[in-house]
Amino acid sequence: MKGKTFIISLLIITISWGGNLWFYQSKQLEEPIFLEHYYGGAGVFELYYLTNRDESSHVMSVEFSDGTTLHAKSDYYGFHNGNPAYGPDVQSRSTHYLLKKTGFDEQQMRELEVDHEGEATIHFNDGKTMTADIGTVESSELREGNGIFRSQGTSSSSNGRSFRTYTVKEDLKIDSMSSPFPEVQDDLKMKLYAPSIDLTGTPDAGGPRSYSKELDEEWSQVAGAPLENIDFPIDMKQGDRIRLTMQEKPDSIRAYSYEIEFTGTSENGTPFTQPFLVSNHPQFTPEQMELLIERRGSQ
Amino acid sequence: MNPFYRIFGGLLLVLIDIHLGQIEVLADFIGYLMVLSALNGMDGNLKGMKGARSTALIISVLAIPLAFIGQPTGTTMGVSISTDLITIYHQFTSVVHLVLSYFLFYVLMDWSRNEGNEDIRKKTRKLFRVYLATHIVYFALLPFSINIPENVTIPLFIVGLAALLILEISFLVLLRTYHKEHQNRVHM
Repeated sequence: MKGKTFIISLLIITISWGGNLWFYQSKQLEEPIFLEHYYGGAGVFELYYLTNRDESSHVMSVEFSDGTTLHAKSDYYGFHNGNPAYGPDVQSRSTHYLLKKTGFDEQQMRELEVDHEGEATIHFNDGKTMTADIGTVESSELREGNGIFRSQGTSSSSNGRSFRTYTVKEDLKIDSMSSPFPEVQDDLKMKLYAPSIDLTGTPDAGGPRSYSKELDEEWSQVAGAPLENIDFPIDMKQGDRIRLTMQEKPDSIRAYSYEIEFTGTSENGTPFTQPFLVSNHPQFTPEQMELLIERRGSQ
Repeated sequence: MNPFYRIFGGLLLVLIDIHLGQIEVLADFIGYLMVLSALNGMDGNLKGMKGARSTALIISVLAIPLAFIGQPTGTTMGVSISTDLITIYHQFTSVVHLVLSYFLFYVLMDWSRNEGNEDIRKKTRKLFRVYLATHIVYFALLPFSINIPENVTIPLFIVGLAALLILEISFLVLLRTYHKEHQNRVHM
């Protein structure tokens, strides 16, 4: 190899380094991007956010719009001091980013009666503070069981499908349904099955084996009718099953945990409310991370 | 000790890394100084000698901090390469090492030509081409690893590092051959 060729080769190596470092730099986030959360006080409360891949800090506490402050559960950071990309709080990773999760104590949330919307002030363990729109966070009283619905099982799958099944212990009529966050339904397809609903199919006997089968089935084959097409009231006989199946859309980048409520009256005229928990645990593909940056980055 | 043996020993020292905490016991700069002293003991008119001497001097100084700052984070925390200054400094030193090898190959080829040993000259020429081409491709592709997914880069990394190690060892074996040739000549 002649000297000239060698010098050109060294030049190419330099350009490759320069170009790649420049591209890497251009992909860096100025500050973490928080997901839009919809927490109605049911289930867990976890904050999800996207950071640069080499970012080792994590959320310490959050000041909500109503002035209350919650401290994050920190029990699992104790022994971790290695690569941030493999920290205990990392849900998903891509070449440039990490999706991280911080958990909070729901009991404490209920005691503080957190009622938040929009911008929150977030403190990180490295001393940084930022404000970000984290969505809606509400706390609610623990619900007492109504004694009419018996849980038959809940199941969820990594493809974004989940369902909840109940059997009813007496004859009843469901009059209406309400959701605290109807906007989340854009991200989520739902189908309700009950014997008296005009349906596309019947779920199998309801044993454990049928769960995995229904989780993989084509959406059109899933038992029940789309939630928005259902005519209330729904009549149910003792021993009937009711199942809510949910399918998250691939471009869904929100975090939620809340209850859809079905209200009605039982045979002897007592009114009841039955919640169906709707929740997810976001895990993002690199494409979803890019989508999040596009939608919520540098607001 | 003849100069080829000292170059061999020096480069072997560079290849072998033993770290005690942050400090590298067999420091690279000592190896490069051995190469430099060997080159200073050789005929200054050999083709490539001037470049080899100055590069050896530069890298001897450049490599001093390497003995004390420890391994770059990229090697201690998984295979992915990071973008901090230490990593870039490490990579820069590796490229200077390649320049040194480039000149050393020229010195070797010119020496064997003067000796009239065509066999070993051809052998050197062959290794020279493969050694250089592989290193250049590796160094040019390496920075892409900070921007493409891990599952693609990790297998490439392993293949690349294995190829470089084989070439580095072949180079050392070649230097030993030169050392023997040199000895034979002295004994004759």
